[in-house]
Amino acid sequence: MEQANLTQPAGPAPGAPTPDLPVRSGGRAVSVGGVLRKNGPGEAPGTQNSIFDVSGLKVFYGSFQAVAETTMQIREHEITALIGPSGCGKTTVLRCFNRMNDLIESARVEGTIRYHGVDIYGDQVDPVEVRRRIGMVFQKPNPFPKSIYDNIAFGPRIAGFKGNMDDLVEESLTRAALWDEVRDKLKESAYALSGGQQQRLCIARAIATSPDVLLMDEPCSSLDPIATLRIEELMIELKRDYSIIIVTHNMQQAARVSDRTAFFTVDVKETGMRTGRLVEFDTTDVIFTRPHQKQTEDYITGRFG
Amino acid sequence: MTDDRSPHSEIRHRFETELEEIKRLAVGLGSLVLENAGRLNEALLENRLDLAQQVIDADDQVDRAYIDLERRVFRVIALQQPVAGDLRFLISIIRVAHEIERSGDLVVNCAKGILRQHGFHLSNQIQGVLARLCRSALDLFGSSIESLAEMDPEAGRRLDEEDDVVDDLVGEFYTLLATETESMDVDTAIELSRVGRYMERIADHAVNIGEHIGFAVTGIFPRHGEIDEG
Amino acid sequence: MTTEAPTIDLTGSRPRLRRERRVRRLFLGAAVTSILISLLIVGSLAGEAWSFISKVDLSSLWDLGWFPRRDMFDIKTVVTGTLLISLIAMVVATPLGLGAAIYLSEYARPRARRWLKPILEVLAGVPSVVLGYFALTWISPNIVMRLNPHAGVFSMAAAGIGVGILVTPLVASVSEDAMRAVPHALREASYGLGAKKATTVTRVVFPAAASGIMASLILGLSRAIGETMVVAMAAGAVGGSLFELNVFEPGQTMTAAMTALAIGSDQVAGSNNAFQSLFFVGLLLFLMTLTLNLISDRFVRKVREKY
Repeated sequence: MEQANLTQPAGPAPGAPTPDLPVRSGGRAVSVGGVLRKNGPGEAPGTQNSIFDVSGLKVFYGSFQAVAETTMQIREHEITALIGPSGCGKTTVLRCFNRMNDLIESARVEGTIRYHGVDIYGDQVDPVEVRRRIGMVFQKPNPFPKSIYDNIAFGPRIAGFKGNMDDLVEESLTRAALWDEVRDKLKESAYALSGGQQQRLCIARAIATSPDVLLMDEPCSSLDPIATLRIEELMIELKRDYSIIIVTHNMQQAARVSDRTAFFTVDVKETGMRTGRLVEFDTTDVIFTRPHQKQTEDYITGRFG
Repeated sequence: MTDDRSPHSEIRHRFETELEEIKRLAVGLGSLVLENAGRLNEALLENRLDLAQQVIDADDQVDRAYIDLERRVFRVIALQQPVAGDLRFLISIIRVAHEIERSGDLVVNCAKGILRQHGFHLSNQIQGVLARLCRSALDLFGSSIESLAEMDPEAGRRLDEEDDVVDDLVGEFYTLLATETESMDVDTAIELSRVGRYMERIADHAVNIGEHIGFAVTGIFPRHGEIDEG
Repeated sequence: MTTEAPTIDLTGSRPRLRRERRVRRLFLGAAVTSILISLLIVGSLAGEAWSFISKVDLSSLWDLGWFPRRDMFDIKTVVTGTLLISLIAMVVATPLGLGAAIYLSEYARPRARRWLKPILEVLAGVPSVVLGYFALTWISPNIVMRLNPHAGVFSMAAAGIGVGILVTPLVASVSEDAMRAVPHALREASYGLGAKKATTVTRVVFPAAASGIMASLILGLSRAIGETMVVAMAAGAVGGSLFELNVFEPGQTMTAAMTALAIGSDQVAGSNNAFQSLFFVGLLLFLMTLTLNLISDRFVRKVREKY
């Protein structure tokens, strides 16, 4: 069908799930509100500019399967949003990208995630190295009880940074759009900042180690609308230099900010086990104007849970 | 999950009820114009000046219904931030309402023409073709309102085909008109040619309505002979 | 215009308000009683201490040693004894206690915690007299005398180590609580930045728990200073002691000195001075621990203010 080259493979189920919406055959189709994008729908899916190549990813906590087999590609210099109802595994999947799930005793990950061609779950890979290259920002701002300066300097110091720390701190804060507000109080406690400022501080801290990926787990959910807006603007600026994956339960945010959106749902078995599953992954434009899967449509129009 | 459905579904329920109401109003708007078009048809073929006047008077009601419908659609969009299918539906309703309203204006224009001419006194032959032309154009319009009520995705294609019949009839009408021009005065001829034009345009609006409905359902807006975007 | 009667009564029920006042007074009474008791203690000490100071020959406060029977009340002997033994105790308790705390808080699996904590608690429950005995019969021969073959059975070192073991569970418990109170989000932030576990523990958790850990050490020191039984048994100075800086020799602490005076082993019939010196030493001890508490308080507040 003519839709084939407009979408990413939406899940490896044998026999692709058939869309419930009637599709016109014949006649040339035009994508609605077809804003031309650099990595637009016309581009064939490939790994040339993908930064993460996820293949057959499954996550278990003990015997409980949290995430069903997932395959997807994350592209460079884009903002990819993971959305879905609670329990759908989106945060679990996010934390796979920097091996944060390793910190949980019972967590077990199967499948591969290739980053710059290397499977980060390979035998020889040190998760500490992975985390130095992939930064993370959490739901509630969590600056260290140290000065603003020391917060930013933490990552580079433990990585053995030998250059000019003052410059690095200034650069990180500038990129996080926080420099002007804190330049005169670098030695003050990070806790003296407002919530929105603290979150930007956490972003600056993550940037300081020069990662090329930023993972954000609901970064705005504890902030007021104005602080949220500033962080969204910041994300769009950061896209130039980083690849960003964001988990959000705010669909309007995903729609405003992301280039591609992945929708996860939660399957409940008779045993009561809730397993997350990737349903559809496409450009944000398509997901929000004419998603292919009824489940996706139901979720984003609010008809589901 | 069943627990947190209750307060959530109240908002959901109101939203869906509003969408249904909007559709009902759109169909209602279409029916108003259709009814007026029926009046016009009779006025045209039986030279009923009183009916023609009624057609003109009824347009107020059409305008009010149109404004009311548009307002409701804007309100839902502003307050509910709809996406995907809901958004397409609402945008299509706005477009369809506009097409209906324009069609209504064209019907009124025909009626005004009748009044200006104090009725058309036509030969049987031309009367016949005109009747068939009006019948098919207005049927097409009626069919488009039906496709709105049923949200038929195939409507665009189907109505497009049926429009060919109308186009043929328009051609036939003009040919006949050209041959009979000598036997009628210039004003009448000009007025009749306008009527032919109006009927053709009503049929075009009907086809557009069908395409908008198709888009609302499938998200695809077929354009003949235009380049694919993206 | 007629004024209408209010339709609702917001004034609250009288009996309930009376009850609340009564409860408040009850708690106020408890607080006042505690203050009164403290003042009473200080008062009773101060009274007798003053009477001692005014009667005694002041030169005897700086003498060869602490021999109350011979009217030699060398203060520096007992103070040094206390300080030396407490210092040794903290040298033992700090690494052991903090190490156990770090392990329990950061490294131990839930299964390991389940049997490790009770063991620590058992150690905490050992009566000090038993520990004193342990110091004499095991610590002294196996540790102290191995370190210094010239050491006798009784030594400040043995007592110090014994007190250290006594204080360890306290340090461990309080500092473990302090570390567990550090929000997990901070550890996550550290790991997210590519820190190893050890780095996270030393550069994030430890500093964040600093005030609590400091409090645990000061608590431990206070406890060590106030420890009586272990030092009375193992430090060995019976009947008094010379001023001594060598920890492998027996020594006298303020607490042991007070015990000896109180139970009469240093009592000389008729010589009231000896008995009263107990109060003087007691007052000194009290002032010492009070100062320590004030320092720790200010320290904790300073750290807390900063962050």
